[in-house]
Amino acid sequence: MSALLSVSDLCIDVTGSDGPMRAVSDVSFDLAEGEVMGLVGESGSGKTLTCRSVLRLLPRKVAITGGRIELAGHRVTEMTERQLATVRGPVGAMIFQNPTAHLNPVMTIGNQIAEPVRIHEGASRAEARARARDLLVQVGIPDPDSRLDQYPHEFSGGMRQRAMIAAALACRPRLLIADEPTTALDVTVQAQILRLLLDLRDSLGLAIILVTHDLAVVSQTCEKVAVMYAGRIVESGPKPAVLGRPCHPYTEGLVASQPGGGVPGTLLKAIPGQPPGLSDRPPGCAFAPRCPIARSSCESAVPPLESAGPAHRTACPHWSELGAAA
Amino acid sequence: MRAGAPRRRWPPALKAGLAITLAWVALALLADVIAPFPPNDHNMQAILHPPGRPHWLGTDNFGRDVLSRILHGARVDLLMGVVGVLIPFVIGVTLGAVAGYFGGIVDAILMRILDVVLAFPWLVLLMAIIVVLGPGLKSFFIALALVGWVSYARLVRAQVLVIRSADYVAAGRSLGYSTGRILWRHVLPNAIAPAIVFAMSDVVLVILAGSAISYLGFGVQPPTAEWGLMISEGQSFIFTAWWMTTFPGIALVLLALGFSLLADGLAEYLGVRE
Repeated sequence: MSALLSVSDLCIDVTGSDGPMRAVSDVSFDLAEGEVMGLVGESGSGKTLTCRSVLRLLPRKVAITGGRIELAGHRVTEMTERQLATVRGPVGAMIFQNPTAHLNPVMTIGNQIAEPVRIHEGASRAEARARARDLLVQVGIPDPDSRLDQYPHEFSGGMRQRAMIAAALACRPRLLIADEPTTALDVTVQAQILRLLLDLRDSLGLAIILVTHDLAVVSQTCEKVAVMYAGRIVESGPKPAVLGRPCHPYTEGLVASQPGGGVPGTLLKAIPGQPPGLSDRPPGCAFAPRCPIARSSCESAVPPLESAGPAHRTACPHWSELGAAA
Repeated sequence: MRAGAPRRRWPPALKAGLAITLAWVALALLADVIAPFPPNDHNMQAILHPPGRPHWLGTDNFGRDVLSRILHGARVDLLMGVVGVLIPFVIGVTLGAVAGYFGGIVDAILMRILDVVLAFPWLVLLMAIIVVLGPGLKSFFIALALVGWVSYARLVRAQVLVIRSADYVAAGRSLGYSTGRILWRHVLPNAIAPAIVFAMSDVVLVILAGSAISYLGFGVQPPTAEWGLMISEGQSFIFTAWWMTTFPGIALVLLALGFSLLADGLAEYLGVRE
């Protein structure tokens, strides 16, 4: 199975007041058609930059400084803005955390969903409107005919997220990047939106990158997981392996900090300490200062990814000690 | 808000402003029909006739009917106000949007030019340009275009600076929209409200400036009926024929009031804070 998306050795720099700083280092992963991958990490771990770089949607002062991204045969890393505009929408599209802020407040929902169709497919006003209507039905918005002419403020949070998904899917992309799509929604709506994404995957063969810090979301939806810490992928592999038998102390800490495993009434386990900031990342393993099994060798060199099982890779050289200690 | 949310109510100021402004527009359009006399008809039997029948607002030193001249003058003054604002509005909004969105060298150059224009008192600069170009309505409009755009450019630029980093702009980029489309269809409609509100109050300033410039003899030329000109012509008769200056003055105040209320009401309606 050839990959729809292939990211290799991606490096991203953020330029601050005192020069460029490495925010994402040597990130590599592949994604096949129809596959759902969870990209997990804390705030500042580089997961959002990584997923945005797939469509080269990085903010000013943030630049890809190394590596390659190939999406459905397009070398994203080498394309001009003009070429990128033909990929964004018809090949890959993105949905965001805050649907309220990501919809234009002075444009009707119908026009916002129809706009990409008109641009990329040169559809007529009527054709685009018909497509927008179908999309509203597809994402589960009742009464699409009157909804088309409403403005975002007339929609609820969950409905806005559905509308944003409809706009993202308007040109039938093959990859959907979902950057914390459910974080701003309440729990019941969250489950509906995740359900919707999975249904769309099944009906359209859509590949999805789901960026989240919520392991529960990952365990409900993804086939693959990549865990990021301080700008690197520290563990990746099939979901059951990564979440069921974590092979990196950071992943293990994340899994242990989830509610459900422990004795009711006791405090949830937390990982002590804070992740390092952009400017003070240690030379060796970035997790070493917080790691229960770190030793002096961890602090000198960045550990390479090694295999811990079929398609399961970890950046901890001491991963075999983990299961035993837990 | 849910489906069927109540439409936003029109603030009273907006209704009143719209009523006064539209009334003036109607009067100006119908001037030929409702004015009792032709505006430039001299009547030597009724020179400096005080208000009363048949000259309700009196006549001037040539026996011209003041009411008829005010009604016809409304055309000139409204035209001055609307055209005199529209040209700077279009130029200023365009330049401000481009400067704010792209930033960098374009922005820097434009903002320095703007600083230079702003450094001069508005009316003085306006008159200086008109004097150089020669009197007349055309010079007035050209001068306004050269001077007036700065306010719009500054207002729109400030808004665009904020809105260009709005999330819906990022969302537009993620769907492959071109820069031009994002700027005109997504950024500008969200950035333009303060400029529209300012335009309404600017109409007042421009009409007053136009009247002032006509009063000084550099604008509309006699015998055209124009309020500023009428006030200036009546000045020497202010003690014998007060109606020659008072009624055009009241007309000017009423039109200005209409646009001011319109500006306030629109600001409230569009949620623009000044």
